[in-house]
Amino acid sequence: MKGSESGLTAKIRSNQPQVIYGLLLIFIIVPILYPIAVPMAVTEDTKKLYDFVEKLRDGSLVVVDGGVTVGWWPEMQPGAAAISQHLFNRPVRIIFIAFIEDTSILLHQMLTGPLIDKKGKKYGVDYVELGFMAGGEAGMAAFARDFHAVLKSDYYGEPIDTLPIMKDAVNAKSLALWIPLGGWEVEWALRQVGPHGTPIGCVSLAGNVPGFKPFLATGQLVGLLNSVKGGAEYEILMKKPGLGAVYMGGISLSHIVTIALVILGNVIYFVSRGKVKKEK
Amino acid sequence: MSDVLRRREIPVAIAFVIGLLLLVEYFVAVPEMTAVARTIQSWGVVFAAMALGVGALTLGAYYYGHIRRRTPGTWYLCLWSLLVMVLTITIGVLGTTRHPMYIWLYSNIYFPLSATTVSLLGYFVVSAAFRAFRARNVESALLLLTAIIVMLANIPYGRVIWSGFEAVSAWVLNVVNLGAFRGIQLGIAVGGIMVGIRRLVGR
Repeated sequence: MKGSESGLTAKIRSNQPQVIYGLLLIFIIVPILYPIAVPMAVTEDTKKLYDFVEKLRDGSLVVVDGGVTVGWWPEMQPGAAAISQHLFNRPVRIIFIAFIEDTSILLHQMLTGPLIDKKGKKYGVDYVELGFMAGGEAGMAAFARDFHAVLKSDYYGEPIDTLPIMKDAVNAKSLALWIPLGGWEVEWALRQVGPHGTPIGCVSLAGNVPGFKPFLATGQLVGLLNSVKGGAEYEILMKKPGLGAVYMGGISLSHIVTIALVILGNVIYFVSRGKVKKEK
Repeated sequence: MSDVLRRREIPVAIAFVIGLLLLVEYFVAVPEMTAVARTIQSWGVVFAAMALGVGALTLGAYYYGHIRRRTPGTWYLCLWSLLVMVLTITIGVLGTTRHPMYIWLYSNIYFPLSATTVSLLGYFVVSAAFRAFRARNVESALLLLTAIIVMLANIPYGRVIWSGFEAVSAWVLNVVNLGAFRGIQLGIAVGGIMVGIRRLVGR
C-alpha cells in the first residue's frame, strides 16, 4: 500500500510526530487553563447510577472500591470525586477500600483534599478508610464474604472492630451498593460481589466501557460512569461543575484534533493515490 | 526426601483439593464447607501479601545481577531503581505508608512518572491513527466512520455539529457492540472453565 502513496505522504509520515504532539499538547492544555463552557447531555448509564444513589435508604452502607494503578488516576478522579461527594451529600455510610496497592493513598488524598466536602460526617461513624487489602480478586472474594475475618485495621492502623460503622458492616450482604473504580476491578466485583446480591455501579476507564455494556443490559451493573465524561455528567446532575467539566474541555478539543488529523490523513492518501494512478 | 518434595504431583494435588472445595462451596451452601472455604480464602490473602515481598526480592535480585555484571546501558539504571526501591520500602516499613516522606515520594515522583507514561499513550495513538487509519476498503471505511461517530458522540461539540451522533453512537454501543461483546465474554467464560479444569487436574 505504501507504494501507492506519493512523496508528499511519505514526507508527512516522517515529519508528523512532532507537529501532532505539539498540536495535541496545545489543544489539551489551553482548555484546562482557560475552561470553555460547553453544553453537555447526560447519558442514561450515568443517570441510572445517580438515581440509584439518590434512592438509597438512610443509613445504607456503600463500598467505594478503588482499583486503578496510579497512572490511570487522572482519568478516574473526576468520576470518583463526583460520586464520593454525592455519597457524602446523602445520609448514607461509606466504606473506602483499595484492592490495588496504589489506590489507598489516592483515595486518602482525595478524601482529605479540596475536592470533597464531607458535610460534617464523622470518621468511623459515617465513613471509614480501610486502606489496601492484598490478594487482588481472591482478596475481594474473601472480603466480600466476611469483612472482619480478613481485615483487622483501617488506613490509620485502628482496629476495625472498634469503629461503629463496622458493627453493621459484616459482609457484602450488608451493603446497599458497591462501587468499583477502574477496569478489571469492575470485573472482579461482578464475579465476587455480585453473587452476594449486592447491587454494583461503577466508574470505568473509557477503554473498558464497551466490555461492560452487556452487564448494564442484564442489570448486573445498576449504572456506569464512563471515565472523565461520566464524571462531568455526574457533576451536571449534582449541579456542581468540577474537575470533570474542566478536563472535558481538553478531551473535547483533542478529540476534534484527532478526527481532523484522521480526515486529513485520508484526504492526503486519496489525493496521492489518484496522482499515482494518473501517472501510470 | 527432596525428590518427593520436588515432584509435580504434590502441588497439583493440593491445588485440586482446594480448587474443588472452593468450586463446590460456591454452588452448594454447606456450613462446614463454608467455614473451611473462608479460612482458605483468608490464607489466599496472606499468600498474596507475601507474594508482594517475594516480587520485591526477585526484582532486587534482577537489578543486582545487572549491576554486578555492569551490563552496558542498563546497570546504572538498575542501580538507581534499586536505590529508590530500597529507600521507599525502608520508609514504608519503618514509618508506614502514611509517613510524610513516603507520601512525598509517592505524590511527587511515582504519581507524575506513572501518569506521564500513561498519558503518552494518547499521543502515540493519535500519531498512529493519522498514519494508519485509512479507508482503504469497505470494511476499514466502515470502521473509520464508526470511530468518528462514536468519538463525536463522546464530546459535547458532537451534538453542536449534529444532535443525531449520540443516538447513532448509542445504537452502535448498545446493539452492535453489545452483541459482539456478549459473544466474546461467553467465549472467554467457556475458555476459562476449560483452563480451570485443566489446572485442577494438572494438565
